[in-house]
Amino acid sequence: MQILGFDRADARRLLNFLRMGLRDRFLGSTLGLVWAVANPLLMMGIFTFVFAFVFRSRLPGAETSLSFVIWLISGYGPWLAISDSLATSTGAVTGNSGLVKNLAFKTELLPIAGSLMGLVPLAVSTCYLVALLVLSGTRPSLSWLAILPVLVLQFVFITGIGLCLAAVNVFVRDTAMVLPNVLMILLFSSPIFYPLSEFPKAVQGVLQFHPFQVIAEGYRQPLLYRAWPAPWSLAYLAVLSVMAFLGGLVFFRKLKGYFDARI
Amino acid sequence: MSYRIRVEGVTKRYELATSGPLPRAARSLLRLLGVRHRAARGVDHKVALDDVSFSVAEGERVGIIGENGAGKSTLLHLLAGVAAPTNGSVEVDGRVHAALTLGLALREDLTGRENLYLDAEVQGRTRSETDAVIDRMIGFTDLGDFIDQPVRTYSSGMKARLAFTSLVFVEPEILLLDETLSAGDYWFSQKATRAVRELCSKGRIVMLVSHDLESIVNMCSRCLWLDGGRLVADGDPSQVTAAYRERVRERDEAETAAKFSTLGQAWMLDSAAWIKRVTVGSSRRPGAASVLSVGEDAWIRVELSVDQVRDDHDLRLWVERLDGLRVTENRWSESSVNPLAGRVEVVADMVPMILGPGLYRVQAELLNGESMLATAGVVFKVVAERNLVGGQPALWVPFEVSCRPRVAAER
Amino acid sequence: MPGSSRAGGLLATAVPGATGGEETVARSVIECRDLSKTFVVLDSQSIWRVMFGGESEKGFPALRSVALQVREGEFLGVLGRNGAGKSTLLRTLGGVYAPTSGTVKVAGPVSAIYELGMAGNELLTGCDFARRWLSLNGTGRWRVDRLLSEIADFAELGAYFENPIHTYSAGMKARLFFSVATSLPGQIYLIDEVLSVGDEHFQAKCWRRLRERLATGASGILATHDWTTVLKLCREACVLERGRIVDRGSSPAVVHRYLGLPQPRGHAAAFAAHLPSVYGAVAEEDMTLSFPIDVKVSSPVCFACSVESFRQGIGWSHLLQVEPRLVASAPGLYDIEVAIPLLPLCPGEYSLNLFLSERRSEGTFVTLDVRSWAYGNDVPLAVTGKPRESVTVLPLRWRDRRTLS
Repeated sequence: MQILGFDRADARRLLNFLRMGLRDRFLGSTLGLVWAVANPLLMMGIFTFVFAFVFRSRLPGAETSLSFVIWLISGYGPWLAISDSLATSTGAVTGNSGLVKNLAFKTELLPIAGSLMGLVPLAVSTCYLVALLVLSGTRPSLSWLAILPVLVLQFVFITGIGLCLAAVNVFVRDTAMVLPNVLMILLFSSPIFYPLSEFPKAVQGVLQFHPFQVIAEGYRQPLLYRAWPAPWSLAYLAVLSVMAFLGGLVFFRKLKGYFDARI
Repeated sequence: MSYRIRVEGVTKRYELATSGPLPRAARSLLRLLGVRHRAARGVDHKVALDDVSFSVAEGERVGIIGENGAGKSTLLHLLAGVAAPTNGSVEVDGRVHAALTLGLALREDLTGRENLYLDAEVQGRTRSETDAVIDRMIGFTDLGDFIDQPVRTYSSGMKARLAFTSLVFVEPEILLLDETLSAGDYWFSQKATRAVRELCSKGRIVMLVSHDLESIVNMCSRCLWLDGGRLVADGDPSQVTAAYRERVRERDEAETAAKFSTLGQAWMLDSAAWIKRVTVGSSRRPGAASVLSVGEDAWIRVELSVDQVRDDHDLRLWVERLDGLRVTENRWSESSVNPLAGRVEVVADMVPMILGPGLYRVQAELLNGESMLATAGVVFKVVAERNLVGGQPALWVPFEVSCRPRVAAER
Repeated sequence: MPGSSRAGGLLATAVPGATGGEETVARSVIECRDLSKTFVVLDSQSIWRVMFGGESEKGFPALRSVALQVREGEFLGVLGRNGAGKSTLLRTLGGVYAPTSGTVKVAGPVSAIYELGMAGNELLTGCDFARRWLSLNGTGRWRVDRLLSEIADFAELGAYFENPIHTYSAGMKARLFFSVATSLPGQIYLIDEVLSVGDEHFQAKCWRRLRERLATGASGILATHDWTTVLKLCREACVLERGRIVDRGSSPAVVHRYLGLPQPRGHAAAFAAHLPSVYGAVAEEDMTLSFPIDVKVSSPVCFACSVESFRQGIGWSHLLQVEPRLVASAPGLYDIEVAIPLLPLCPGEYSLNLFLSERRSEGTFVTLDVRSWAYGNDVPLAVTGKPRESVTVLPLRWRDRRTLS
């Protein structure tokens, strides 16, 4: 049985790569596991401190800073996952040249596994968020499960982009180095630290369709407001994700024939 | 004589991380707390070199041989100045160029040609100096069109050639090579040998570590044998390599022979049919023997006991040589119709015995149809007073060779 | 091509009348036809062109129209100098590289031992590397644990097994890799230059392990520049030069041509032109072989011969031998007859090697004419008769003595 050119053996291999990646990143060194938890927490802590206590930002219409922090984290957590996924998958092929040159497998699996590694910071930030929510008095509710479709679509979308970047990085090695800067720009130009309403009116209309905005809202609506995300936004995200994934896959497959001499 | 390299009383100890029942962090914690139990052990000490002393003069080509882990690479590392001895002193007078790890200095994304230029620059040659010899260098590498491909695409043999070429043309005063030549093929080895001889004729020193004893004999004027960190021989390459080879062969043979003897242990299904003993002997002396001589008549005796006479009982005898060659497989049923019954002694005469020298195992199997009821065997050796001219055949058969003028009645 | 038509003579094809007319042709386990592989090297301009849908022209042809076939139970040797394309060929056959054109057919999973196959995360310890490699190749967790001690033992790394790989020497890395890559018994092997690592003792171990695998019917390809290895393992070989197969045939013949060794020309004495191209004999019966020779000189001419057989993993083994014997000292035409009572060979095909030499006064021999596998012109000896499970057979005479019952 083949889906998009992958069969069961490929699925097993993907799991293997994922396990390998997790072990290398988190279990390889003494502090690895600690860092997996501490790093996201540290980043979230810093931003919490800066925005809640230094700038004393508040959501329009809200009283406490805690609610702002919760709002912030619910968008920043997925962002951490996204940037981690992109960084890992961009370097997935070039960083595993030994495997590519000596094992017969579909090279696409490497960036896909790299992208899935983003699940770790996502899990950490979700736990942190849940803790904050409980602290603020919100009771857990079934609507929280509504983040699952968004989660899946997020990974599909990011994997597509990751596949593109991974292929380009083989030929233009600077890609991996430029990526963190690009992500930084994207971060501050997205409604993650500041709500959509704070942007100039002219831009708001366009920014509504920003994928990261849609994803962030997809987390915020269920977790903060117990509402299902707007159907149109889910549909839009779905279409975007599938297009990105298919496009990335096709692009990667086209270029992978040329990898041999560059790896 | 002015020595260029002097090594005196050098000992090198290494620490090796060990694995233990507890994770590393826990073990270091325990050690900090003063626990001295084995479980808290952190490192093992390994003596890589043990009181080694020798000197090398100008123009010498020295080969270093020894088994894995004997300390050869460690010695080169010390000579290169990459590591320091734990005890003793290493004095090196001259510029050392070492190729210690294959391709370490090669930049993977540059082409072979670019790497040659880069390397020359690093060694302090100007661009024009390199330009003058670049064509000869490329010719020496014998890489053809590959010289303009990125080094990433090279096989290990090609990398070895490139690295070696670069080293040789730099004309180092002291050249240390650690197994970097083994990857090259037959023709390149010959070229390399010539290049090394030329270098040494100009007064340079070359020290070479290799497992390829042939190349050591071809290339070197002197050979050091390291065993377990100790210098056990220092002299003419053909003699030292021969002694080394002999020692390795002896040990391997002893190991294989020991394993060989433990195979084919006696076994029986039940006491209704079993083999008591298998022995061999020669007609010249009574009784069993474990060593037979080529050409003398010999026998194999199998003592067995069968309670019930069955039609499909059979005795199978096979003889196998140490290296696995099955020399014969015979069955009792072929030659006799007497059924095997009761306590019987069956003898197979080898008249003449044509087995060549070697270590053999004869195994007797009591069969019921095709399934085995019991088995037993014995190991014996065959020796010869002289070797045959032209090789060691498995069987020494008495041939009769005659030569007659050809009758002119060819059609 | 001289020798290639004889390539079939030493394989398991039927000899008329040998086994009652049954044809046993083994199935092929590796087959490739018109296989080509071109590496496209993209520079900064062509990258952008390719990314946006164009094609690139500049290519490096690593393999050109290679056609090979490996039968079950056999190993094919691929000889070639550094850079001839051996690694590329193996990796293409193993599926790591996709061919540019042509077909590759492999009858099952492949155990590949590629050169430099160790490149990877060097922070891993030897143990972790073994674990990872095994699980990437589909081994279950429990089996991995059992195999680890075997791997450590075989590689002879001692305590280094638990140390990170970047502390290993090149030889240690190669030993670890060989040990790991051959730990799982496989059926189809692609071996690339790794049999020359380590000292003689370790090499002997490697060969023993390889023979064990061969005994279970393994087949595959061995690509190397080391012709002695090819002679030990392969009955058939071919030569790869700049991506093309330029020679093929029985491995001794191919090696002989590869090394460019000269062949002695029989001027002083030679085997007659009508020397039979194949001899026959019956197992366990008296055998007489006749060899016609032409002698043109008046010096002492000696004759020697040997019967050999190829054992996979060991090479050519001498089974029987006739030491050099004086046969003639005057010019003329002669027939040499060699008689053996009760031929101790089991049915099969063997290689007859004949030597004519001149004995000089100092006791040395000068070769005058040779028919030998080393020159690719040995004469096959087909032995028929009662099949047995051994290679040779001793003429044993049974007798029994009853003891006390």
